[in-house]
Amino acid sequence: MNKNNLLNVAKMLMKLNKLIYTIETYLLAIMVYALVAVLFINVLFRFVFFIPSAWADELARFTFVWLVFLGASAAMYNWQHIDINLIDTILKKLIKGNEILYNKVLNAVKKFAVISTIAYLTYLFVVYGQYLRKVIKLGTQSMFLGVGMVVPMSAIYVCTALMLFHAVCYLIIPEHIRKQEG
Amino acid sequence: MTTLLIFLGLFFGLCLLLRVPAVIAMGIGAAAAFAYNGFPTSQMSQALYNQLDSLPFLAIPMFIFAGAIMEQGQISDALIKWIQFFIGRFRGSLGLVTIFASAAFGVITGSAMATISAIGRIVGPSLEKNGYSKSYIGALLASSGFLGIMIPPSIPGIMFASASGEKTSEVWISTIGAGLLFVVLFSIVNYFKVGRFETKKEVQRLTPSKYVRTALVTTWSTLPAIIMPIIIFGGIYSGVFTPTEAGAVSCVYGLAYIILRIIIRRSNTTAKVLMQSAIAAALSTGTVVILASFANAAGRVITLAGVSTAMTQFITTNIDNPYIYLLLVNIIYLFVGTFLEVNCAILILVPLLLPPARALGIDPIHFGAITLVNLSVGNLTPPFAQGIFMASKVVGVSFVEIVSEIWPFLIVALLIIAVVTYFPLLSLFLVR
Repeated sequence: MNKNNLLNVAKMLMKLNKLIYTIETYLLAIMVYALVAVLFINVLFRFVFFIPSAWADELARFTFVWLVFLGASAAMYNWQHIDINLIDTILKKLIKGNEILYNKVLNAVKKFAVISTIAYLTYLFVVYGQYLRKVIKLGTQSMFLGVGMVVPMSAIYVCTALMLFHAVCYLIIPEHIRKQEG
Repeated sequence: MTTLLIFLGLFFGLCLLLRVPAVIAMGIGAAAAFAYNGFPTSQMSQALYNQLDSLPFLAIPMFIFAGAIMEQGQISDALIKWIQFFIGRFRGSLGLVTIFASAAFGVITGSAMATISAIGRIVGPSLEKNGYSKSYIGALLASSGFLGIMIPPSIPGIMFASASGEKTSEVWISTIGAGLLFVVLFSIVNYFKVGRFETKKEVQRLTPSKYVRTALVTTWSTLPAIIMPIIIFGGIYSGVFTPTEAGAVSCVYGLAYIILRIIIRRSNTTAKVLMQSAIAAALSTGTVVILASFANAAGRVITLAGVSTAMTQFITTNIDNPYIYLLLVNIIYLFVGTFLEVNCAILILVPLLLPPARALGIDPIHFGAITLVNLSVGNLTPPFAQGIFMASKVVGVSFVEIVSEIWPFLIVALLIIAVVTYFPLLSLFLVR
């Protein structure tokens, strides 16, 4: 493949990456409003209509699991997860005055961080997949909504896959294309 | 103990030296510890899910979202004007406004970084115009910003409650005393420091009737912000709703306020802006709460390997004085707090440090107050203080320049840590 073809592939990949991110953010906004509504209805049912609403608690909990992991996946798109830039300060002091070397070392460190993330997410995807298969086999259902426990539990599996995709895109798509298309 | 060393070694090594995201470093550390002990990985997967399948954590996105909505309603501007009206005549009043507004804004957001950014954006330019140096503004903002963690609702408070199994509402109350002490002592520091900057102001004399009228008008425009804590705390402590539901109620209240603003004042807040606020809240939740999920996996392996029990036995055998143990805890927290994010530090350290504290007869709620105060002050302690980094971004001044002005605030903060540690009554008088 020549350089132009590679650039086109990278652009297409970035477009797909952005599309997934956009869908994630819309779903996240819907989930936040849904959570507010469910929890508020819960208070109303209990104190205004005197009707117990355990189903609302369960629905809120399940939505929350999806919200957290989907939020984590969307945060991976822009590499927004909490990290500590201690090494930047240390390197700045160690490599005083040599800007080129500083940037090179820092880039290598950042690449290592992304590769470690990809490796771990792949491991988690496999390990959690095995666990989820066991849950599906057992066929456990939730107490109040009567849905299979696989529904909330699969949030971790699906979102790990999405995070993995975002992280791979972050590693392989050149920065100028990420900025241009993202 | 090898399990603990493997986990902590990998976590700190990857996180601090190689910039691996904290959540991934935690996951790698936990996975390695599981593998070392030969425990089934299904335990790890189960722990990841179980931690989030709980109602108390749900309060986090709710309060973040409520804060974002109120910000859209320009409530922080109104709050600042209100505080300025009442204390604007005192010497160093703009500095005082920053401190009081940070504490008040904490009630809405519960986050130090959000407070520094929101208050700094509004107060920063006025402080500069009135002759305050940029480095002092940065120091003042960084120091006042963490008052948002002390004054409930506080997100780190929810994290502590989750890590310790205590009631969120009690953990929240435990830091109010310390928070107020911070407000008073920081105001005194500001009073003595600002003489260099503040020029003598022309005080506008108001007749009593005009004063009352202006006070009422200012209060009226700030009313939505004043009512919010009344709803939250009135609801929680009268037993009408849980802290999580209080979060949802404050979101509904905030949305109602925004809709009224659109109708009455023809404000330009659009559905798109509200959508963006929800997305921002969800992203913050994703990056913060996912830490709890992975910390639970780490906690599971530490418990299964018997580390907590061994550590408690080791500490209680060697230290029989709770005050000496608390001194040790303070040193660990202050050190870790300089480079580790508050929530992350709570989730890793509390399961390890709390069991020995319980065995030594220390009240877990008191321990919670010590934890929150210490880790908040960690935001201020160089060389890696997050609060100073944030303030330097907001004000546009270097980290080193802020550090040169932060020492008086830091000394006061260390003094308050000692008071909180050795006078449990300050944290427990509203709880026990």
